[in-house]
Amino acid sequence: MQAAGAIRVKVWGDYACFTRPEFKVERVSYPVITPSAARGILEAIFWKPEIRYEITAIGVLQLGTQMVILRNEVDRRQANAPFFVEDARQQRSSLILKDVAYLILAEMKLRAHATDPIAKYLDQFNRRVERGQCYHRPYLGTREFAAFFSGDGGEAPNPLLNLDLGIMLFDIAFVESKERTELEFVRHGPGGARRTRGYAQALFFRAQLEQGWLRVPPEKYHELYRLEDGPNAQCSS
Amino acid sequence: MSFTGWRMVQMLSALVEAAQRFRREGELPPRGYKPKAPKRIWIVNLEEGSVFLEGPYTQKEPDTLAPHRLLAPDRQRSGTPSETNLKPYLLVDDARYSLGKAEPGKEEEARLLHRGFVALLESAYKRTQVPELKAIIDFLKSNKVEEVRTQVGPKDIIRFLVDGEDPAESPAVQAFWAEYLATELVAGHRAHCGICGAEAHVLRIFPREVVVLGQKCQITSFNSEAFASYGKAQTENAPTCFACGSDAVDALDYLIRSERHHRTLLVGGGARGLENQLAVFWLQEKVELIHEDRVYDLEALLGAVLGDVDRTSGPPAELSQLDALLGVPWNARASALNVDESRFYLAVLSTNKARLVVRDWLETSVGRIRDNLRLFLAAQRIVDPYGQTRRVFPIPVLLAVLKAGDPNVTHDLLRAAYLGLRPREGLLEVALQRIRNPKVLRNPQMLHPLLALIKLVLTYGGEEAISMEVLDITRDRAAYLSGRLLAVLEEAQRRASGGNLNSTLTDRFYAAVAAAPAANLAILLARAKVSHLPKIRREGRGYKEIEGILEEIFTRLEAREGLPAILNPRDQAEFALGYYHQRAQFRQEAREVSDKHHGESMPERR
Repeated sequence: MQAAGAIRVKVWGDYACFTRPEFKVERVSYPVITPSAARGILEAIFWKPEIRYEITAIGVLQLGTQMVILRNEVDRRQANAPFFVEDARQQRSSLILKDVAYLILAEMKLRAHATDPIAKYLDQFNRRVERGQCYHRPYLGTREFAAFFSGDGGEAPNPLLNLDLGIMLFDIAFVESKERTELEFVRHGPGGARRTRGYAQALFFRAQLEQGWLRVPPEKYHELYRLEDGPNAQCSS
Repeated sequence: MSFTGWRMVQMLSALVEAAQRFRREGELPPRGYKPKAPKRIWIVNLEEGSVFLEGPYTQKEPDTLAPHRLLAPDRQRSGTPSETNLKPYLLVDDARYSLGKAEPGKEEEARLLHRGFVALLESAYKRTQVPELKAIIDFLKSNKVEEVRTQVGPKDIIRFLVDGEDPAESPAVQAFWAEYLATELVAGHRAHCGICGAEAHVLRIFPREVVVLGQKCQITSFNSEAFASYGKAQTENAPTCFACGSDAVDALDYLIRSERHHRTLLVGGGARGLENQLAVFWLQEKVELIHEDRVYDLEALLGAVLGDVDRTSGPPAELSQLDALLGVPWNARASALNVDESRFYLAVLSTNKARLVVRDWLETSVGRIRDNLRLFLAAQRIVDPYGQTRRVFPIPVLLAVLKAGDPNVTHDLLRAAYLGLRPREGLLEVALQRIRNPKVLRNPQMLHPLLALIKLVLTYGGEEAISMEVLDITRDRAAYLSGRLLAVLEEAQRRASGGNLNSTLTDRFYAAVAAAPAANLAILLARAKVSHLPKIRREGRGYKEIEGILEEIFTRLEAREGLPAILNPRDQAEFALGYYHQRAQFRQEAREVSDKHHGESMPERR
């Protein structure tokens, strides 16, 4: 039986780069989309502070091929003071994916402060997918690699695809902390959005493609919520 | 295509796994140690209260002496030394650290460095109670140190021996150094390691660098402001525990140093790291194959495809062996080992501004590789320009002749060789571009690998891979026949001139004829009929042979609607093969005639 907030979206694109943290500067992509990149795509289509997405599985419709590109980038962040790009030029190599397509299976969950039923948000999401609407252009790992999306269209992944992908990034937990104030971020709650300080912690999981499906262990979400919201964290739906 | 049983784990994870193998085989230094060969090294020998200074030994010393080659504690060190950036090596360091020998005007710095060195030694002694350490500390605090200090240079490396024993080799000292680094290099908080997934204290910085084609680089480096995220510094951006980080760097360093595990694929003209490509490869476990009572090292055989670029005179011995072994079943020397299931890893590396660049990473099983290599070598096997032998080329030779710095060309060839993926048609365009260069056309040493590459793309996985190794006079593709026709016209020109030509019609017209054979070959043919063919008929220089081949080609062409007007890249590749094969055939015949004449004129040996 399908869960109440179940979502199925097909995404595809010409290029993708799901950057491995250890090769983040001279980028190397994971061989398939990470759950956090999949969540990012869903949030680009539709997002409200009252909901969050839990990726349950990713179907690989097209694994794609690898290719190397070299791009001119800059070595400093944009700030108030302008700088000449020529002075900050850095060539960076990226080992990226070409021609990929995925089927994202997720569950939309209500946050504790939500008051409306999940069906309301789910309908909005499905309408937006049908119309091709998005808040910002969804992307496959990095913003320059735009993603296209649609309903699943009855497509299924290649059942012969069985791959051990090793340890893979699951998601980043934004943990509020008074001891480690490495960055500032926005937290949403009953009182609306508020700025807070804390740190980011990467979570990983053992990724395995079985018959074309990458199953995301649900317990990783419990771990994520425990870190972000404390030990009593839970979803209302 | 079935992907069952495949793995695509990350490179660092595979390196950590490899470190276990190399450690078992005794190839890796103790954790935190590194093989060093300093330019100048002195040995301070402490024997029963006396001090003997030996040296200096330099890198010119024969390896058998080898006091200059040692395993010594090492760590990443950069920036100007200060109270907060004080990173002495344990026991073996330069004289500024170990003896406090100052560079001119830098006395204060030398005092600071020496203080750090002694403090580290004292910590090591406190922890290990190794008496040799105490002897060194006592010496460094005595007046005798001044006598030694005056004789050495500030950047000379100093090694201490106590009664002939090197305390750096003591297991207790080695354990201390690993533990010391583990606490020194990690951040104060715990996180999940991106390699093993376990929760641990993560590294602030990798234990040391690796050197790729002469350039030092960090495996993970976040050496500019824009590269870091989430307010994290350096390696905290790529959470890695100390054990995984040090094993990965030890294994990679060993692979890069080991002749057995690395090959240079491409070295660019300039000093730019991104132009250079180095391949490192290894098997999950060492495998020795046994065939007809001979033992073959599988790792060396698989690496032969990446063989040495300098050896253009003939295929490397390992590649010939591999080529021969691909046709027989592979049996491991250790009967329990399933060779086909062994995993093979390959990474192509470059450097960019002190950062390691992974240009390619692939992992597959030996069983798959064997089938894929068979296809790869069969598709590129082609007769030499003199029609004598058929041979295959390692990938660096193919890359060198292409002169293409594009890493995707390397990528395509590696994937064709090891993963069995059909080479991209784009390779043909690069190769055809090269063949239009008259210098390449005139140079058989360059032409041979170039045509091997063209044949590889054209015939990969097809039955033609065999028939196209030499001239195929039954092949009736118009492009192939047009190429042959150009070679025949060139031969007519050569024979007419008596072989004294600075440049042939091919040098001048190859590119035009290959693109539009009908228009250009008609002109060349008309010219040959007027000038070259009558002359070789008059002077008896093999007219009948040329006429016979022309007739045969035209008969086949007429059956195929004559000369083609234009050729697409794939047909131009056919054209190139037709030209090359026919040219090789002429060269072979000429050599046979020459050998025959030479043999007749030689006096008979008695």
